[in-house]
Amino acid sequence: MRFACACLLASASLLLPSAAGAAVVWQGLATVTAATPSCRSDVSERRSIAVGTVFRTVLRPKNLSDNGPDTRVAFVHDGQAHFAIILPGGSASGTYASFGVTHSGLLKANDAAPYAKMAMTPKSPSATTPFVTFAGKVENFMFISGCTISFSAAYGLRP
Amino acid sequence: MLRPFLFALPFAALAASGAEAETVFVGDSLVLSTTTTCGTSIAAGETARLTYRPAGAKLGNGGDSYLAYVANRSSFTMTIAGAVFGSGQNYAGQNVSSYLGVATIVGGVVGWQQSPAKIGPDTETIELTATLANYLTIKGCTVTIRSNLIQVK
Repeated sequence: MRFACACLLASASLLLPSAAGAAVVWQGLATVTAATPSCRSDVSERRSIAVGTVFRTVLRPKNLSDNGPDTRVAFVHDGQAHFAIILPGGSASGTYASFGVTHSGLLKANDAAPYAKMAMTPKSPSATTPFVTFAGKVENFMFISGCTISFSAAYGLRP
Repeated sequence: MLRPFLFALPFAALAASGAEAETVFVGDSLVLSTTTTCGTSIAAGETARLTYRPAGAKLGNGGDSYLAYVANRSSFTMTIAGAVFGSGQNYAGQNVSSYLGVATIVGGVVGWQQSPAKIGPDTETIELTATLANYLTIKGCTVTIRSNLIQVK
């Protein structure tokens, strides 16, 4: 019973900030600046990620409007795989929780892996800051085991 | 050490992994109709990438089916445990919105017209028209989509 209550509370805290329109987000493109060999697929090019791969990306910094206390960032690869990660407390390094869908269409929820060197410029944007950049290093990127990438991203505020 | 988020998910999908031997179809989907409850979240005429991974041991896909609707900056992924998608089934769905909200729901497959009726490892394309309730985790939002899917590696 105690476990069930904990799950419900955590779930609620995750879901509450999700109201579309209440959050402040920036959208843009990210490019891969370094990638481990595991990011490349031997099966299909559509699954491969390497230096120079570009993603659509959305950034939701912590503590703005209804964004909540965590920073969130998401990447879409080639219109098929969607990888959203939640960075607890917006820390520069730590363990993320990921949600989305793999290149195979598999639903993913609450996968955890390390991330590091997350850096936002400006460090604390306001809800009207027009441009933001974001960079970092993510393990098990796009739900690919052993795939670690470094990325750099440029964003514009979504009206 | 920060703990990952706890999340009460009804999905058997959590244990699934990206096996190499699998049968996956992708298609460009067109939204044919939506109900008023969908509001501005989705509208007729919109397109997005659809990925279908039907259940089947012969397909290398295991026992669960997945249907993913991936738009420019959001995704809605549905799964049915132990069956392929078909009319009258219920799915468990997860939406990751373009505002990076995460939500889950159980919805119904109201209609599922698929040709060929049975999918095998050699099936090249699937002509699909599907009507799905509670789309994008919006209760009462029923969407009809059409897609011609092609098998990909």
